[in-house]
Amino acid sequence: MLRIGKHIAFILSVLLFTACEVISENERLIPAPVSVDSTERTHVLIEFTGFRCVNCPKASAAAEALKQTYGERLIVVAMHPASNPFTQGAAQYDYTCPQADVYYRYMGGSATTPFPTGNINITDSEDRYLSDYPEWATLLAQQMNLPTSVHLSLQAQRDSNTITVTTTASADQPHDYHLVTWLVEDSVQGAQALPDGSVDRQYYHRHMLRTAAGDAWGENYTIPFTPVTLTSTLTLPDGCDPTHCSIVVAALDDQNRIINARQTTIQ
Amino acid sequence: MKEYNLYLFILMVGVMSIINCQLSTARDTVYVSGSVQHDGLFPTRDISAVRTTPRAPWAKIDHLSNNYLDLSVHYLRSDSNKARFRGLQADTRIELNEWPLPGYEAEFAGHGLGRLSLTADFEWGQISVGDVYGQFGSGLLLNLYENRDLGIDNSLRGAKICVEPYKGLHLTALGGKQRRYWNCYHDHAWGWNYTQDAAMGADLELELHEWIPRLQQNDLELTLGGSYVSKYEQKDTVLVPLSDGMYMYNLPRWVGAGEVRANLQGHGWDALIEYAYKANDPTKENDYSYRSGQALLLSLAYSRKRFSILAQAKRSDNMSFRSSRSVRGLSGRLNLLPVFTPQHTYSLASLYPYATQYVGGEWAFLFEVCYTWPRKSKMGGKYGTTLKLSAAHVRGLQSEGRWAVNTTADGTYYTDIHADLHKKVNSHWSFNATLLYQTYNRTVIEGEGGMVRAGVAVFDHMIHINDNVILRNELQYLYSRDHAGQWLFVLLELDLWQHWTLSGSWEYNIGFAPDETKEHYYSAMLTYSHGAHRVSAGYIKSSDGFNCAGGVCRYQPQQEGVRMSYNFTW
Repeated sequence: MLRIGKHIAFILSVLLFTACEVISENERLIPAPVSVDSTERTHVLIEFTGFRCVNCPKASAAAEALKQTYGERLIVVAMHPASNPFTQGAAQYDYTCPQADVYYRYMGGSATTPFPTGNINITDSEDRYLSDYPEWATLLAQQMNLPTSVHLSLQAQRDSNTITVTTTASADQPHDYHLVTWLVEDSVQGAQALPDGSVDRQYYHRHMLRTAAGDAWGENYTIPFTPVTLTSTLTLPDGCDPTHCSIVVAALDDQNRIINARQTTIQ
Repeated sequence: MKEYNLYLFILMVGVMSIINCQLSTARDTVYVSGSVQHDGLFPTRDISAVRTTPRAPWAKIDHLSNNYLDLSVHYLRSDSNKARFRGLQADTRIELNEWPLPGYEAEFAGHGLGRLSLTADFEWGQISVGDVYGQFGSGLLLNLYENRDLGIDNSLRGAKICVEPYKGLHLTALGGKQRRYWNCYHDHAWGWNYTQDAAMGADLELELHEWIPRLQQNDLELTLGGSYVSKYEQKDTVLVPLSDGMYMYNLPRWVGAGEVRANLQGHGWDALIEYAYKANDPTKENDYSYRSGQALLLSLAYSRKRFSILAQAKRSDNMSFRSSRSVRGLSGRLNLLPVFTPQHTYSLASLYPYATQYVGGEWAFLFEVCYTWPRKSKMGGKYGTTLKLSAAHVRGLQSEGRWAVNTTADGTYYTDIHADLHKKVNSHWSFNATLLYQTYNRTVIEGEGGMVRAGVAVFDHMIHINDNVILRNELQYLYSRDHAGQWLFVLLELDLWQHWTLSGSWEYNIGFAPDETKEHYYSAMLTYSHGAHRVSAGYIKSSDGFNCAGGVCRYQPQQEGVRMSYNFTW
């Protein structure tokens, strides 16, 4: 009996220590249909990037692929935080804005944080805010069908360099929310370091955060059940092409999580 | 949750005490050994952008420190040579790193019991339970170790058994949940949750010279070895958006890897060949590639009196082997590929240290020759002269086939050619002179920056003034047209009365350096050593750079402030 036990223990240990699962080539990807329900919540993917970061174009492409999948349910905002050295080094390619650095630092970013990195809806996962771009699709899918309690619509009008943003907001139950208003510029042509060591000076930077109305964390409002109209103004920064600009308004709860957002072009 | 482990430690000490009471005779031995280590910094410049825990609530803490207390309780049987049970050892390590020195990974911050283990020695081998360390072969598949400079502790919380059933046959098996900073306590109070970060392996080593008399007669030692390591992790949902829709990776729960090796030694020669293969291991680090990983290691060394020569080659591809597929950075690695590039200790010589390319792969070559001219010869002088020549070269792999060396200009990852001359001129004066040429592919190693070529000259000499006063002086110069410009480094170190050391250093960029600011970097330290105690304090202002060990690197940001450290071992 003891001898049989020894044999079984030996076989079990061999199986345990030599376990391996080989996935054949045609079984490596499994279709995962995207489930987008009818909630009107729009999500924000914040992409922290820098023109000296060679892998950032890959992250940008991943963000674009997600945008293709989710359409208007996803807003992508690329932020260039000054705290990370990948955004520094040449004055003519300074894409930083102070608000980007506030969010970056809030989410635990520092000079040593590997780039590219990003976040969905300023929401943490086990106390960790920043995630690598291969994780974004999964993290977004986890949040995609979460309900929202705030409903937004907006319009933006430009008069010379002044942009007036009119937001109509209502809540399922009256509650305090921060409304953050961002000016985002698309297709900004400039330099970008590439993985082969070269620099592409004709690179198009997408969805770049240029400025925000007031404080990085916006204005605090008590949003009532009945729709209320709120107005904020922004000044178009020097060098921004208004035809490439759009306005993003995001509603943040008391833990600074984005619970709904909208994006509109400037009239 | 960490208090459970404190209770466990107290329980272990209690068990040891009971064993001691019950088993010890007057000749049995129980003793405690350990060490204390404190390294602290009172920063005098804003470090909020580089500190490991930049967010509240400890943003106002103005003292950063890494603190370790190691404690081991040993019980040795007096008749251990005859008894089947020979002894016990309990080890623990208390870590207080809540506000660590700058540059460590964010998850490094924390406190608790970093190690708990109990090891029993028997006539036939050894069993350990708790946090275990170990290495199979050269570490191509498994190397569990601790490195405090880098903040690495990749032990397994589980068990390890080492047996020698026959003379010359060594079997080691181990398994457990790998430590990634404080993950054990996050996942489960006792750290025994094996649904994540679990790994196990076995290694068999056969010393053929113990069995084949002809090998012994010819003074040859032939050792054959092999190991298998596998890791287990639950399937994750990792989505990948493609043009025709969203897909999900079919991730393997078990990933296995095997390794074989042969080592022949004798008559001053030492030859080693080792090969490792890793099955599909899609991870975040390799962009979820299902490609297998391989590593080949060849080493030939010869040494006799006053002369040694070493030639090594290594080819590795996709050999990052981690217990968790979602982890990048310094933690969670099961293996450590041997490094074939020199690890310089001089400040400017280590300005461009090489980091092993685990995922992208590399071909690495190392050739070293060392000769000591004897005393009273023309070159050796009165005390002898030692010259060491070393050449290391690392290149990438060709994208097609991947076995061939990438011979394009961008294929060079690193080159280090240096000559070291050590001479004791007379009873009072000795020196070490180094000339070094490096090429360093910043794009591959750091992510951006292109190729850097640098030359370094070092003159390090020591003047033995009398038995109570020894002066050491380092002069270093670096020239690089591509990146760092010209740097000067001067160090003066005065050893006084065998206990005190007063040292000061100054580092400055004297030439064109597009990325450098014209700042003086300096340090002044006073150290006192007495027995096993060593305490030092001083002021430093250091430039940023990479701190590397074994081809693994950690970015170290610029620091300025009062440094203090204390070490004690008993």
